Amino acid sequence: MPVTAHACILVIEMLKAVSEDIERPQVNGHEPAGAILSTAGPNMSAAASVKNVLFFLSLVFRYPREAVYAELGRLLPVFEDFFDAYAGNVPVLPEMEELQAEYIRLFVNNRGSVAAVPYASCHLDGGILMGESYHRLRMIMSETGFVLDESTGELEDHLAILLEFASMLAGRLIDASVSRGVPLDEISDALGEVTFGFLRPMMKPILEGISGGTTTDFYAASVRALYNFMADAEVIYTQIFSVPVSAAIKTGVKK
Amino acid sequence: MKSKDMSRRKFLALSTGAIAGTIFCPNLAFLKAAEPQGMKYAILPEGKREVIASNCAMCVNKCGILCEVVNGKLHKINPNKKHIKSRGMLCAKGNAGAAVPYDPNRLKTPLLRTGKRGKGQWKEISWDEAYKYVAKNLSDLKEKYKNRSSVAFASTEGFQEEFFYYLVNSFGSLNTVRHPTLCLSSNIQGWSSVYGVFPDADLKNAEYVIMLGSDRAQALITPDSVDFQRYKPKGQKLIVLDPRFTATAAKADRWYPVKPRTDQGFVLAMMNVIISENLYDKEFVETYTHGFDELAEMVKEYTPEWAEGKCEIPADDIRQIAREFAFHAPRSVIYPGRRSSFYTHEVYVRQTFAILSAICGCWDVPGGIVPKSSINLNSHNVMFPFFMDAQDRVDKVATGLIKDVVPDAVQCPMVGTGLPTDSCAFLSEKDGSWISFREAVLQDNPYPVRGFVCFKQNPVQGVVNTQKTLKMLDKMEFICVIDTQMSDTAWYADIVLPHATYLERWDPAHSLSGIWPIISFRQPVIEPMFKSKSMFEIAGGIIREMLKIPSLWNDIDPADLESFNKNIVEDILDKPVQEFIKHQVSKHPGAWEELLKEGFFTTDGGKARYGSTRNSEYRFKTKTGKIELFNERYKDKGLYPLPKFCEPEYRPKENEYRFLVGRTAWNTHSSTQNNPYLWEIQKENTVWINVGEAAKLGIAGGDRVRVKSKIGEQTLRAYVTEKIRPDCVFYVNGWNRKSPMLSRVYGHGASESEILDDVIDSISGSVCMHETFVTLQKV
Repeated sequence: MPVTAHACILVIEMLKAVSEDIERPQVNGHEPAGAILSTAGPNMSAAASVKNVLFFLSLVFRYPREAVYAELGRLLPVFEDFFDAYAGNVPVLPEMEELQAEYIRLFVNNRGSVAAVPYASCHLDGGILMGESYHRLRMIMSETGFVLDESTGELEDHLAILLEFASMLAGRLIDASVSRGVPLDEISDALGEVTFGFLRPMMKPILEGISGGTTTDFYAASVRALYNFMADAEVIYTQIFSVPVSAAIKTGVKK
Repeated sequence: MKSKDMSRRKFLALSTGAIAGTIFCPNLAFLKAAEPQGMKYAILPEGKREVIASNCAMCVNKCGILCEVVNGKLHKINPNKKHIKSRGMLCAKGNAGAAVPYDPNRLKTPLLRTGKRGKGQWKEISWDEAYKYVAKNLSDLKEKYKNRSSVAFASTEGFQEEFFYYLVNSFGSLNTVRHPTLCLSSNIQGWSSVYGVFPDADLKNAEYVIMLGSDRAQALITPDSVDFQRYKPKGQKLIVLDPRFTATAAKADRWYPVKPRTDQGFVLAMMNVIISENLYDKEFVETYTHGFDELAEMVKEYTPEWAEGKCEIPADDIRQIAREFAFHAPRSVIYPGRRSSFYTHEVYVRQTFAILSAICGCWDVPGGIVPKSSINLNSHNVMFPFFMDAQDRVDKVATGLIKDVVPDAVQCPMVGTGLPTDSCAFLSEKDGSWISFREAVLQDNPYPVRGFVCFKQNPVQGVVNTQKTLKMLDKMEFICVIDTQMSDTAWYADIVLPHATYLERWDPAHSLSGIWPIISFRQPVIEPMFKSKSMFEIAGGIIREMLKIPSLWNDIDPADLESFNKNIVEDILDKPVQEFIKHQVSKHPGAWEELLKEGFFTTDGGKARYGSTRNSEYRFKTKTGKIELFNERYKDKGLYPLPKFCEPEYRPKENEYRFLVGRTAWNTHSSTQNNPYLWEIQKENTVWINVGEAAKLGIAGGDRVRVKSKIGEQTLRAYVTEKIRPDCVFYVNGWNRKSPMLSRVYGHGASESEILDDVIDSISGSVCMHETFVTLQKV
């Protein structure tokens, strides 16, 4: 049986308890995510897990400055099961200086070109930064009430920021009180578009780039985990967040 | 390994546990909540379109551009049809500039080396840390060697170079090394020896043009390349001498595959005909020139028949061309060209060109050779401190250097050829001589140079004999590179600082002198990306940190320091750069507004300026004040005062070919080959081999060929053609970069720097790129 099917069954079982005796309004044939999640028991935890996995992966794929590195060190044991499940092994965190050098070599600057360009636009729009998809992403962020802290000096479609954005959107679906007035179905659409329109299309080149270019198991294992997690995202999102995957893909960025 | 399915099930099953409950450290988020406006969040404007005028920087020409910006993104670069210098043209490189800011491999943030040099181990640092690091290293070197010139500063031309020199002059090193000795210094020296200045050619109004080794259809220079394309078809006659059938030769009325290194003989024979047949401009010669009699005497021996034996051009053709040139004078041009880093006697070659123009009176008139005019800018009158601990530049004071730079040449041909053997005769104080400088550093001659600050130059690729450049870098205790890309030189640095691209910054106004002078500048068309900064900001940041280190200022008059603080730091560097530019153009009412609107401004409606030097009272910047056909300063220096023909001192041995290097219209040196748009035009270079020679060697078109010199070897595909002389081979520069990660050009084609011998012309200090011989072998 395919992996995604296993995950699907599991999540459906988790949702069963709350889905049978609660009447929910239908939106476009789907139950609004907020309606499910606000009453959900076990799936609230699953949703929180997904949100936190996304944020943890965002930490993994950002420059490991001191604070980030410390956080990775603190949280890596917590995510052992995640890595075990999605990467096949739990990576060892290298020394900070080594990790920083490897990060720069892989993602920031190398002699000539980096192994894995972390910007979605480069994978969606023909190899250059800030292509058409970049503007679309900024629109989504704006419409859902997010803005990039300019002091980061980064672009919105950096892998780490996309993962953080997805995590933030998941957070708003879990706790409607932080959705700041944006309808939950818009947030779930945004989560779908960010995941399937931006993150998913860059998974293969990122996996290949890092796998072929890295000398540390940390990024090799991390990108495997990310890749496999993204491969499961359709099932997880459909069942946990009630994200209408087909709609999300439909609204996703067109190549 | 466990079953993947089971593992993932376990993970999800356990998700009620630790992961779900994870609390992340605050303050790590990139994103923040936007402030709602009314009932909705602010929505980004759709389709906001602006057109911003600026100037290109993809090569040295600074052509006018109109940048179409949509929603803050540079959408397209168009030519500025009003631009006087570029005549409304924008080449492939200029168009491809739209990709430059959006290159994912551009430098993004200051990087500090953490591993061994050249191993590619870096960490990100803040700009404040970077400024402190650079200032401290400069201070340490100054203290250790008691000599500010122990740090060398390398740069190449560009508007921001002005601010790089703010940093250079604030530190006080006299060791600066620039690009001209890799390009046109011998050309400047040769023409200046005659007129005191390096002039332009009026290709717009010329009736008769001779180009020797210049490929204006490929190596683009504005306005010359545009005028050549536009006015040649309207009846202008063009004679091209080049060992290759270039794109320019294809447009010529006559092309001669001249024997390399003998162009000078052709021009001397032209003068022989013009003087012996009294076709020269007697009135002009008498009024403006010095040394005609000596010249006439010298050229007597250079008959067309003599020249035919040297350059393989029929004597009758030389006579005819000489007569035609004189007939059309003064609307005749022997084209000065630009890059002249060809041969060891190149200064004499260029001097010969200049003298031919002079005797025919083709000077400072429409259609002739015209001194550059310029539009004056307001100076900021900056006075940098006078530093006591600064020794003179190494390539000037080193002893016996030339012998070491060109040992083969010294042993035989230098003697009796009018070329200096001790040091460069006319070394530019600011430019230096790249090859001599490198040799002096390698020898610690006469003192150690242990610091290297490099702005927008890539000597590892750009300076011939790469291995020597790497050895020079190995001697450095501190290397700082400021660039937009992780160049091969940056790779060997200790600290790399990201420079904003030309589309993201304000550049100071510059007077682009010429027959049609303009004032140019740059304004940002998009916001600076990532953490890149302009050289203006970087120089200011480092200088401010330098001011915090008292020992850096202990060899100057305290009053100088006070003045420096006030006049340079406070009045210039602490203010927005726009204030600097406004002051520059303040003597021209409306100029600032015109710059913002059009990207340039001019006076007199942009009319050509002729005749300013054609009055008998005018004093040329030569020793006699006249146009010197006989150069008095050369005589003083023991050089040939007249351009005697220099016999070829380097000759190919059996099975050897003279290696020629050149450019295409779609790449600039080694800097643009990886541009995604330009890469589509050309994906690798090929070596041109004459059909007959290829047959002898068993090489067919497309075969891989090893090109080997005494310096190194490269492998690339063959282009078998009739368009090159049998004794020469050729490929364009900038390929097969050293980086295995350079995705588009790594392993494609061949690098010229890896095989070129470091021979120099010892008058100007220029490298000679056509004095290398190679063998070919099919692989």
